[in-house]
Amino acid sequence: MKQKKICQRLIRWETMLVVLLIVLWVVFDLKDAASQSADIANRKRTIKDVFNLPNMISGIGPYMLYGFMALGMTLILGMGGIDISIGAIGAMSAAVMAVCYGVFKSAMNPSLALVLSAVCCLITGAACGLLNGALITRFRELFPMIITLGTQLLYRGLTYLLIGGKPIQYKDDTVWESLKMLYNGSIKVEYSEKVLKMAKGATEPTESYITSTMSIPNILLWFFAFALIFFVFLHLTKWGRQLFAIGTNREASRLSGVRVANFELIMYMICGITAAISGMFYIGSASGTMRADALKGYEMYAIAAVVLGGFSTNGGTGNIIGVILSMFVFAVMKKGMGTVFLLIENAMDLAVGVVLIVASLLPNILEDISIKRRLHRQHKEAALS
Amino acid sequence: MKKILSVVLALVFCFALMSAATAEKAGEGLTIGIVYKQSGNAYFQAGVSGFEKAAEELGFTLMHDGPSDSSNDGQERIIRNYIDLGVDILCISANDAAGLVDVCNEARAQGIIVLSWDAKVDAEGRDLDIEPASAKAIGVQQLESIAETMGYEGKLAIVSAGATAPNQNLWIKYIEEELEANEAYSKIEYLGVVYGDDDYSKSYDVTKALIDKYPDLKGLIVPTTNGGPAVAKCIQDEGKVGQIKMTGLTLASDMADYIKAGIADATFLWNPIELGYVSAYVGVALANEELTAEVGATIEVPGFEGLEIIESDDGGLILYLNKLNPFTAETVDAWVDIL
Repeated sequence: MKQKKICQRLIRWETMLVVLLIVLWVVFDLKDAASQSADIANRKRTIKDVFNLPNMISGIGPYMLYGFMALGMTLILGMGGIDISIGAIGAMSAAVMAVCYGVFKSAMNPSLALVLSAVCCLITGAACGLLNGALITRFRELFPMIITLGTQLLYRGLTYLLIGGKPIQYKDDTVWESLKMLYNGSIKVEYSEKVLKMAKGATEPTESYITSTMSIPNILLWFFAFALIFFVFLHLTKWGRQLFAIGTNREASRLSGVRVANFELIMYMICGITAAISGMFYIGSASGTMRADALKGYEMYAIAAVVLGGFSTNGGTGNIIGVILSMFVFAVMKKGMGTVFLLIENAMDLAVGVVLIVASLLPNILEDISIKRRLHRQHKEAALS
Repeated sequence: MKKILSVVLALVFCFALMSAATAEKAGEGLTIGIVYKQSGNAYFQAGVSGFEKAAEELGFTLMHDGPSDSSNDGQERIIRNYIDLGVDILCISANDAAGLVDVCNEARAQGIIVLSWDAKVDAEGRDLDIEPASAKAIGVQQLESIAETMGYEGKLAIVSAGATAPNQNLWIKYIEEELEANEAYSKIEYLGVVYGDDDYSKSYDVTKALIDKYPDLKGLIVPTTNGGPAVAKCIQDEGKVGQIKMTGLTLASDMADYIKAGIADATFLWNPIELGYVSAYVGVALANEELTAEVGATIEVPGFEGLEIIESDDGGLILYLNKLNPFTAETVDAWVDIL
């Protein structure tokens, strides 16, 4: 009975995200069309669609960078914990990778060096996650937020110690630059696009069609692949059920035979690994360079996406589908704000903040209402009997 | 009477508008997207005001933005938005010279001119880099200034940053070459370089040692922003104001008090407004194909002479303004909030 109710609520939540996505899309599309006709009236340049699906997909790369972290974060939030050090873990792992590659490539075949340094990157991420997990499970009286705030500063500091203020890059190294293929688009789709042009002296714009290319960023495909793995893990295995059980009631789970501390440790480790993966993709996104201040603030984007996706910070509930949707909500929102409404980067965070607050309050408000209704009903029934 | 006057005024206004509309400006219909290192930085806002000045003269429209966190991916997001918006010219001050190469090349593939200004995008990702001054111009201009202050005679020394600082050493090399080569400086006795390691107290100490050793010292060049205020303070503390003068590359905010106290007649730094102004002119000329990005091409910009595209150290193309902005007792206050 209860199972079904949670299920219903989740379905509702994901539907709401889809509705939000559609509303955003329609608003941006209409505004785009409106500013196009204004542009035509001003007889400026050729007019093309600014906000459309091909542009959105081609440019979605930078908004997907924290997707892997967000997936890792679902494990932590699902258990009712939090980890705000993942941005720093990603940076440190990627820095380790860059340094290791430099060391290894002088000693061996560059392809092997790349693979080995990628392994080092993942190990670093896992080790950082393990340290977080160990501290958090060992010192239960401290908030995970405070512990990971500390480790965040620690990892970021180590990253600066490791590579300093200068970016690391390996110029003209094709093996290293193959990292770019993680991120950039290799699938190109050609499509025909309508353009409007106002000829001199004409009153009506002339329409013509040009061939444009949409490239699907590989990072998008990787994100889907990882999301599938996490979906299976969280929703179709016993570990997923254990995870949500810990989030709902840690003590009860422990008493019913789940080795809670070990389980948490492993989840923090996996979260660290996903941060390391984000770090690897970051190198690809930055044309093969690594900087010590990479991925700064990404933990917050990741947490925002997971919370908007329907995960409660108290743990116990959430669905990966919601997280995937919320990644797209943020991407569409930021892209649209930037291109159609011409908001500056910093101002976009405002809109993200508003959506986040509303999204995290809404379930509570709905729950309040349903509790009140139930009490009301019980009251009535008691009065009747 | 009032009615007639207003009708006449309205007519005049209309004519003025129409004539303005008919006069075709070089940048009409073009859009420049400016991307800087971070938003809320007065230096880049000054740069943007240079673009705006050029926009009034050339008639292009401009957009500008930078990430709040000086990040590479923030800049990438902004550039991608500008590509979607169909800008004709991108002017980028890159946080990471190599990091933006891919997205810049995507922009260029769509026919967008990619310029970098102030901080370069690597050679393979840009059409042209626009920078304030070559190392030679920076060195020579400081020497010229101090020589004039000294009356072309007397003892001169340099207080630099670290002994291995590449920029400073390059500038000093050109200063020394110019001292050798130019007859005008024959009466200047050059004492050499001391190093303050960009540290306030160390710069102060080495300056004090220098003053103790050469009581008749007349001039100091401080080609590092961190050293400038320390050297000026030392001159002030030693009671040598008026006898010893300094110049150098400094921030206006650091030096305003000392410049007004007469310790330096002028110190220098590049002018971000001019940098933006020239970048806009170059971008528009490239977009209109009045200028091709190749070695030896020249461009006319009002108020500038001898702007020529040359090959840069990284194998790409570069254009130097070769003009440093002096901070003098009269001008320094206007710059305090910017630099």
